[in-house]
Order: sequence, then C-alpha cells, then structure tokens
Amino acid sequence: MQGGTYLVIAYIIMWAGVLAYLGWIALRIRGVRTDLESVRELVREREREASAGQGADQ
Amino acid sequence: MKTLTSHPAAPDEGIALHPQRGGWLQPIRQYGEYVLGGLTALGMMLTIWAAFLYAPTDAVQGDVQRIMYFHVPMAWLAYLSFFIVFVASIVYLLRRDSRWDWAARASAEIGVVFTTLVLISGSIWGKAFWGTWWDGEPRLTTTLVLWFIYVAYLLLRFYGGRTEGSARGAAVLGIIGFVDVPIVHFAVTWWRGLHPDGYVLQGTSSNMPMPAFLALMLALVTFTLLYAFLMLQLYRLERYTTEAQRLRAIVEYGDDGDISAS
Repeated sequence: MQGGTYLVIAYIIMWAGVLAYLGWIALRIRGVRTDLESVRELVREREREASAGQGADQ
Repeated sequence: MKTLTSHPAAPDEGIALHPQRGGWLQPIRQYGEYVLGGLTALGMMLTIWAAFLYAPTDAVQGDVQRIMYFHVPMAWLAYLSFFIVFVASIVYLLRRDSRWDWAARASAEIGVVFTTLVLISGSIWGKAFWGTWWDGEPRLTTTLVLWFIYVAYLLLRFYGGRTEGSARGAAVLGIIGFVDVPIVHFAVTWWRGLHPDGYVLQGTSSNMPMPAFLALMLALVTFTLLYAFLMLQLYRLERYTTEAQRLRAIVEYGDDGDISAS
C-alpha cells in the first residue's frame, strides 16, 4: 500500500471513531433524559397521592 | 454501603424536580454549549483544510505524515483528560463532593477513547513509515500501559456501581495512574525509540516548517475545544444519571434517596 492509502485509512478510522463517540454520547443522554422524565413523573404521582391522603385524614 | 445518591445532584434547569433559577449564568449555560460546539466544528474544518492544503508535504515521509495533524492533538487531548482525572480525583478525596467525581469519570472516558484512537492511528502511521504495525519501543509500550490503567479505571466505575467506595477507589487509581503520563511524554527522551525527540518543539524553537507548525497548533486548539465540548456532554450525562438514581431511590425507599440502610 502507498502512503496515501494509509493516510486515508487513518483519517476514516479517526473520524468514524470521533463521530461514533459523539453519536453514542447523544444516545446515552437521550436515554437518561427519558428515564429521568419517567421517574420524575413517578415522584409527582407519589406526592399527589401523599397530599390526597393527608386531605382525606383531615 | 453508602451510595453517592445521598449527595443530591446540583440544581439543574428543567430536569430537577424542583428547578432553581440560574441567574446571570443562565444564558451562558444555555447558549455557551452551542457556541462551543460551533467553534469546535469550525475548528475541525479549518484543521482539515490546514492539514491537507496549507501544511507542506513532508520531504521524507510524504503525505502519510499528515496523520500527525490529528494523531498528536489526540494524544494531547488524552494527556489533558487524564490530568483532569488526576485533579478532580484529588479534589474529590479532599471534599467528597460528587460533582468532582462526575468530572473525573467523564474525563477518564474521553481519555480512553482518544488514547484508543491514538494507538490505532499511530499503528497505521507506523506501518506506513516504519514498516510495522507495532514495536515494543518505549512510547508505544508506555502508552499501551496508560490505556490499560484507565480501562481498568472505567471497569472499576462500571462494575463498582455509583457508590462512595467505588468513587474513592477510582479516585486513588486516577491519581496513581497519572504517574504514567509524564513517563509516556518523556519516554522518547529517557530511552531511545522510534519516535522522534523534539520534533515539534526543541526548547523554544520548532524543527517543523512554520506552516506545518501553525497547522498543528490550530489542531491542538481545536481538539482542546472538542475536549471541553465532550466534557460538558458527559458531565451532564453523569448529573442526569445520578439525579435519576436519586429520584428512583426516593420512589422505592420513600426517604431522601439514601439506600444505605437497606
């Protein structure tokens, strides 16, 4: 192989690596955001239940 | 076992259950990331232009030498990442503030990814110029050791969970592991190998032609911006993950999220 071929291979691998890593981070952030939203909703539900229970006691 | 979730996450606009106002820092938090991302993308385009069109072709190696314009900045980024792990680990051990642990964890991940890319790009460059994919010369060997150290760090974080014990152990490893960084850097000076010594900088002057030197400096600045951008993303990921874990613990255990008693 010529030097130019090695150069192209190296650049493809480096850029594919960087872009794949950026994409993976974006997917992980999206996943954890979804998880966080669902657990926030659960906490809100618990708070509503607790306040409704307190209202019934009074 | 005490969990890190017992330390509530920092207030986070729009994500925390009871968000707090960010004050005058709010616009910087909101738009700074876009500005940083845009500057990084612009820098990358300029670096590609400089590496392929502005910098001269090396008289000895030919075009393959242009790998340097990304190989060296990636190595710099890896050094910087592990330095931040080192500093954040020390501060974490002193203050026991989870935010420093998140920074160390985020930086270690970036460091491992870019050390991997440095090893791969270096191997391809080595095959083209030295005629071999791998050689047991000092810089290659010490870089591989560095990679193993921080892969071990990430494995410890992954399998140790988000506990104070895991964070403390990882902080110690992050501090000790950094010892290898100056060894990697000075390996070419202390022991003779295939890597050139003082090619970029010899004292205060450079052995490179000025356009090549400027292209490399541009690449170094761009990769530093990329590091800052990645750190912001990964730090946010750590914060969200910890916050989600804390809220889930509240749902499951009905207390402040500390499941240490269970």
